[in-house]
This record gives sequence, structure tokens and C-alpha cells, in this order.
Amino acid sequence: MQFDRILILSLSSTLLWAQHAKDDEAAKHPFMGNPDRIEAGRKTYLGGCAGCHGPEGGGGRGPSLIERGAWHPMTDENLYATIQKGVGIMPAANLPPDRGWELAAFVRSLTAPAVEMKAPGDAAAGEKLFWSTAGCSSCHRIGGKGGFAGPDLSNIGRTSTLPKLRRSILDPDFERTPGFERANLTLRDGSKLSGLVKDRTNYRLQLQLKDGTLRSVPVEAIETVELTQPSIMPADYKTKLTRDEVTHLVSYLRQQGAD
Amino acid sequence: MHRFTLSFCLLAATAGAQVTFDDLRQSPNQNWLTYAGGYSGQGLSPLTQITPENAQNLVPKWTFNVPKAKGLRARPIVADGVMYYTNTNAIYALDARSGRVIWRYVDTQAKKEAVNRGAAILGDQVYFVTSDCFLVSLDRRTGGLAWRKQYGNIKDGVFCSSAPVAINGKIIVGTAGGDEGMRGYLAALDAATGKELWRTYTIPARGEPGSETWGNYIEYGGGATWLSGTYDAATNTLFWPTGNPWPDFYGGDRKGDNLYSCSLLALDADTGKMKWYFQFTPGDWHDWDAQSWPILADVSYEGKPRKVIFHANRNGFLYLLDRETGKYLKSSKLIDNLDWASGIDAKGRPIPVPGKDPTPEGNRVCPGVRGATNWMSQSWNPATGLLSVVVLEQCDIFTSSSKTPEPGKNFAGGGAGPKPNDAGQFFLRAINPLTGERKWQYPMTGKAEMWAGVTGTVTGVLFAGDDDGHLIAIDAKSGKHLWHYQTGDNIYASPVTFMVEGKQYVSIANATSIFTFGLFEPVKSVPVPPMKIQ
Ligand code: HEC
Ligand code: HEC
Repeated sequence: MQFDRILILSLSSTLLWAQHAKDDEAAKHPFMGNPDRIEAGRKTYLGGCAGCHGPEGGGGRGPSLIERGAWHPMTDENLYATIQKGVGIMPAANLPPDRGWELAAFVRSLTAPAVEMKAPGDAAAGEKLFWSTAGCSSCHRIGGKGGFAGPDLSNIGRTSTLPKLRRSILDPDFERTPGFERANLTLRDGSKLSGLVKDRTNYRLQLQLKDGTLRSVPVEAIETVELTQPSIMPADYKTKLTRDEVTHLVSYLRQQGAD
Repeated sequence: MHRFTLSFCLLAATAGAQVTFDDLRQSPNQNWLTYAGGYSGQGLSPLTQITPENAQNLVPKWTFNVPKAKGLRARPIVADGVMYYTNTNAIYALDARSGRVIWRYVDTQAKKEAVNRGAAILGDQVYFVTSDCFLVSLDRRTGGLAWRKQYGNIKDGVFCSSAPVAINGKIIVGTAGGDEGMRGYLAALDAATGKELWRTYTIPARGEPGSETWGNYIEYGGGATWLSGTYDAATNTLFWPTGNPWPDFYGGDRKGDNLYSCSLLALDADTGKMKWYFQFTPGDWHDWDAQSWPILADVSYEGKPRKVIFHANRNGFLYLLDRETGKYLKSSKLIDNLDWASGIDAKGRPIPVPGKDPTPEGNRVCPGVRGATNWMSQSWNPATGLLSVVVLEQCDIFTSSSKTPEPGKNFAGGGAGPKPNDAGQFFLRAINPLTGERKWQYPMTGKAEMWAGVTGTVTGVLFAGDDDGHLIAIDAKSGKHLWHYQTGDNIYASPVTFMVEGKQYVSIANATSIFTFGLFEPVKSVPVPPMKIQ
């Protein structure tokens, strides 16, 4: 059952608010996507909104602003009006229009593809951490190098957002990517197989072995299955890495998939 | 029949070894590695498990509903038990036995949404194009992005939809958009890095040879390359059909042949240089792109072995060309309703019937704008000497407008379509392409709305989509119906067949889903495996 939940979560996470820039798109407010305005909005946010919505937008007394966009895509005008006029227990901000739009641009940036956002941190330092000190590349691939135990991150800047990248590193179990349960199989012929479960039903398992090879195994060939469900990604990066190191890593990852 | 032992069946590895150029040359076999199945475009599988005798035992094995699909055009490719299927800006790797997703890659930020026709595979990589003209290279095991390389710009009126063609170290990609004013071209990108190696425009630049066959608007002349071409590895030659000149239905400002629109180009695959061209419809006014399969065949012609090309053209004629020189050899009528030309002259030029151009008030012309056939797949069987091709008998009212053309504004210089009470009819026809003789035909009911093709096997079964949304199996010798299955929606794609773990399958996409069939086997009760979850 958990499997279904994982899948639903991760599908919704691919619905980034990235519909702008399509052929037939309507004109948007000039502050949307503007890095300086977003940064100004972030400052206002930390002062007046973070207390309820969390410093990274992950939620608290107010809802998370990182994923709600996926369930309730709001128009820019709606977002602006919600901020200015308040809703429920949320007080009206009543700011001058420019400052209101800055906030709207910041809130929207929380669900925009990371690659389109400016981010603090040193990408070169992040790259070094990724490929050596922090050990990320033993599980993750970028550009055809690295391990198979975790998702390929070559395009992660286009499929994730800045807050989510940070959260993926600090709290790997918060939102899972399907296809990374680990299984040890004992087959009826006595042999053993271990790998990542790319897909499983009551009738068939699709395993990916250490070297990337796929094995589609019918259930009738299986004697027993041991499944490890919590993420195999280390959960202790929040203590092992400094705040700056996480920022550097995010800065490196957000570039993956850039043109 | 089941020669494979159980343990082999259960544990056969999938997606293991790299796909080499040699593997591509062997396809189709148990795999279906290119859009056309194989480089020659013959559309004939050597698999023998499904026969005319047992085709009645075909049953559905699985269905995959492609997310957001509206009118799927793609034909899958299949390598070692994994099926790769594309939709608009998306590709899915599926377990070909079960239809379950192994990985997906979706480009949510692409700046255009158009149909997509399929993927290519080479080495460890799978390739497809996004609508905004990026060639995308993905690790076939994980879907991990190796690179995205832009080879066209939607600002120039170009968009991209064709299945790339992978050859030795190169990926060949085409362009679409010829109905709105653009300059078509074909490009080769390095398979490892995505670096553009050559680009060949299908319409000359002003001043270049061939430009004298144009008037105004040569810069937007069209000649799109949206259907994958075929390839002769022995001579390293690509054969690529080109689309209509623009504006589609009004040629008054572009009097002349409008080279190299509505043509077949033979290109050196190393350089992109043209070896020869053959223009089917000079100075076209009816949007009769040459986008249909240039099928490469070795036949005995006038008593001598000859390397030829069959080309069933939208303009209503089936052509026989010399593959080495592009020389016109012969033609015949694909359809009975053909009134715009009285025939083809000795050089291969149509002899036009006067008064068949589109007019401001509308002029009924046969075939219609969709052509006698189109990009639906065909199947050539050397053993029977028969070419199976889906044809449309239809006449349309063609209107023209001499309004000043505006590129990029959805302006085609007019339009075309059938009168409501004059809709056409599809037929599957088996033709001897050397003589034009029709051996048999299978007429279809329906609304003349489909775009489904045909795929054959050496046992003499033809799989085709029909105009009512069925996948059908037809006896290739007699044209008799063997089997059918209703997919529940129109079909706009062509079938493929492949084998995994000793079992032959047939797949086709309808508008929204992929369906896969195999021979009936009683299902055995499957135990729930003892599962320990930590
Ligand atoms: C007192 C706590 C509080 C403060 C301060 C606050 N919010 Fe809220 N916010 C909420 C609550 C609670 C909701 C949900 C209200 C409801 O839907 O009834 C909400 C809803 C929202 C929503 C709509 C989310 C959605 O997807 O529907 C946005 C956007 C938002 N807040 C932004 C802001 C911004 C920007 C600020 C700072 C100017 C801010 N909030 C300040 C509590 C707060
Ligand atoms: C032991 C293997 C392992 C290591 C080491 C590891 N990860 Fe992961 N990572 C995973 C797995 C597995 C997932 C998929 C989440 C799950 O388990 O469902 C994941 C998920 C992620 C994601 C989210 C991907 C997505 O699709 O949204 C990011 C980002 C990420 N890891 C970054 C890192 C970084 C940065 C490091 C190094 C600091 C790292 N990982 C180290 C295994 C690992």
C-alpha cells in the first residue's frame, strides 16, 4: 500500500509550476521569475510569513507552500490576492503592489524548476562534495557516471525545485522516488538475486542489478522476497554536512539539466 | 514449439548488452530496434510463432494507458524485452511482457507540444526528440539524461516530431512545420556528444542551384522532413522523403518545380551531401508531401537483379526507382480515384490534367489532401513479391487563397477536405510493385479518419489497424480476415512485432493506449510470494 502512496506523491511532484513559457501562454507579471524581485520577496517573507509557513516554505501553522501548488494550481492574480487580502486565519498583508508582487514571485519560485532559479552557494564546491567527500556519486549518476542505487540526477534541476532539493538531502524519507526499494530474492531454483525494485505487482518484479542490468522476474519463480522500504539514502546528512555544504550541493544540483 | 526451458524463461536478463550498429542492421528479429523495424523499411518480421493457422488464438496480454495521450502516433521500439514508447515530450520504458513502467522521462518545460513518432536506440542510449527540437539522449537502463541538444528553433517555424534514425555513431533527425512556412532540413548529430555533424536543407538558399525553381517565399519554402527515412548500410546512403512547398494550396507566387519539395533525397550519411533526388510532384498545390516509406528492395527487374526503391506516394502513384541513381523505372496507380494527372511520363514527371488546381470557390480533386497513402507503415514480402499498403480512396474540395502569405501564422494558402456526403474509404491492398497488378484488397468500413499502417511476418500474417479502431490480422496471400480486436478508439499508429523469452508479441497504439497481444496460454494460479518487509 505504501507503494501506491509513494507513486502518487512523486507523480504530483513532477507537476511543477512550469507551464509558463508555452506557446499559447498569457502574459505574466514582470516580477514573476525575476531573481532580484524574488530575493526581495524572500526578505519580506522571512519577516512576515515564515513564522506560519516555515523558513523554507515547508509549512507550520500555515500550509506548506512547497507542494500545495501541485494540488491547487493558482493563477498569479489569485496568488497575489490571497497574499494581499489574507484567507481564514491568515492576516491580510496589505502591502504596496510592488512588494505584494515580490512576495507572489517568491512564493511561485518555491514551486518553479530549480534550474530557472538563482541560488546562493558555490556550485564548484558542491560538485566536489557530490563526487568525493559526501559520497553522493556512489549511489547517484550524473552525465553517465556514478552508481545505480539512487535516482539519476542528470536532469534534477528541471524536475525538482530548490526547496525540494534541500529537503531531499536533509530528509530522504520525506518524499520517495518510486523504483528504489531494495529486494533480496531467493528463487525456487535456489539462486539469489538482489537489486532495486523498479516495479512490482503480484505477478512480476522488475529488478535492477548493481550494474544497471534489468531482470524481469515472474512471481512463480520466487521462493521468498525481503524488501527494505526506508530510503537507503543516508538520513544523517543534516548532521554530517554543514548548512553551507548543503547550500553548495543544492547549487550544484540545480544546474543539472540546464541548457 | 516451446523449446526454451523453464529456468531460461524465468531468468532471461533484459536490457543487458549494448545495442550495436550491427544489431540495428539485423533488426527486425526478436527485437524491433527502429521506427520502421529495420533500415530498409520493408516492414517484414522474420518471427514465425504466429502463423495464419494460429492467429485466431491471439489474445490481449496487456494495455498501457499513455499519460495525457490524445492521438498517439508513435510506433514502439523493443530491445531485449524492454519497450520504449514516446508521446509528446515524454518517453516510457516498459517491461514488454507486462506493460509495466520501468522508467519515464517527461520534459515539462518544453516550449511546444506536438505529436511524436518514436524513439531510436544505440549503445546504452535511447534517443527521442522534443517538440521544441531538442534531441534527448537517455541511459536506456535508468532514463538518466546524458544530454539534450537543440537542433532547431521553434522561432523559425520549425518543430520536431519524427523518430530519430540511429546509424553508425550518428543520430539523424528531421524537422516539421512545412504547412506554416519554414525551411526544412535534416541533421546528423554525434551519437555520443550530440554535436551537429552536418545539416542539409531541403530547399536551396536564394542563389543556390535549384532556387531558380522558386518565386517568392523560398525562405519559407517548406520541404519538411518529418517522417524517418530509410538507410542502405552497404552504400551508407540515407533515403529521406520531403514535404510540400509552402503555401500549401496556392502556388501562384512560387511558379516552378519548387525543388526539393515533394521529393525523395538520397544523401551520403557521412556528409549529408545529396547523391541524387527524385521529385514526385513538381510545384505541388495539393499538400502532397512525399512522406511515405521509401522501401529498399533487391528485385529481379526486366530479367536482371536490380536495387530499387518502392514509393507509394500521396499523389496517387506507386513508383519504382533505381536505388543507385534515382532513375525512374515505372509507376502504377495506387488508387482508382485519381484525376489530377493522366499518367507519368518516361522521365517520371506527372502529366497534369488541366483545371485541377485549388480554386477560391473550391475544386474537387482526387486523391484528397491526405493522399492515396501517407506515413502509415507498409510491408514488402520478397517471397510473395507483394507490397501491402493501406490506401485511401477519397476526393477533397481544395480551395486556394491568394492572400499575401504570412509565415508562422498558420496560413497554408487555402484548405482542403471532403464534402460531408463524399467521405472516402480505406483499403488494405496487396500490389505487385513491379507491375502494378493488384493481387487482393481488404476494404474497410469506418469514417476514413485513421492513420494506421501494416506490418508483416514471413509466415504470411499481416497486422494492420483498421478504420474502426481494430487491430486486424490478415492472410498475406489471400487478403482473408484471420482475427480482429477492438481497441476502443481510433488508431493513428502502426503495429510492431517482437519476441521475448520465446514468445512472440504484437503491439499497436490506438489514440491513447498501447495494446500488446500474444497467443493464448492458460494462466496458471500465481502464489503470493512470502514477502518480508523491513
Ligand atoms: C498567522 C499565520 C500566517 C501568516 C503570518 C501567513 N499565513 Fe499564509 N496561510 C496561513 C493559513 C492558515 C493558510 C490556509 C488558509 C485557508 O486556506 O483557510 C494560508 C494560506 C496561504 C496561501 C495559500 C496556499 C494555497 O495553496 O492555498 C499562500 C500563498 C500564503 N498563505 C502565503 C502567505 C504569505 C506570502 C504570507 C506573508 C505575507 C503569509 N502567507 C502569512 C497562515 C499564515
Ligand atoms: C546509499 C545511497 C545514497 C547516497 C550515498 C545518497 N543518496 Fe540520494 N538518494 C538515494 C535514493 C535511493 C534516493 C531515492 C529516494 C528513495 O529512497 O526513495 C535518493 C534521492 C535523492 C534525491 C531526490 C531525487 C529525486 O528524484 O527527487 C536527491 C536530490 C538526492 N538523493 C541527493 C543526494 C545527495 C546530494 C547525496 C550526497 C550528499 C546523496 N543523495 C547520497 C540514495 C543515496
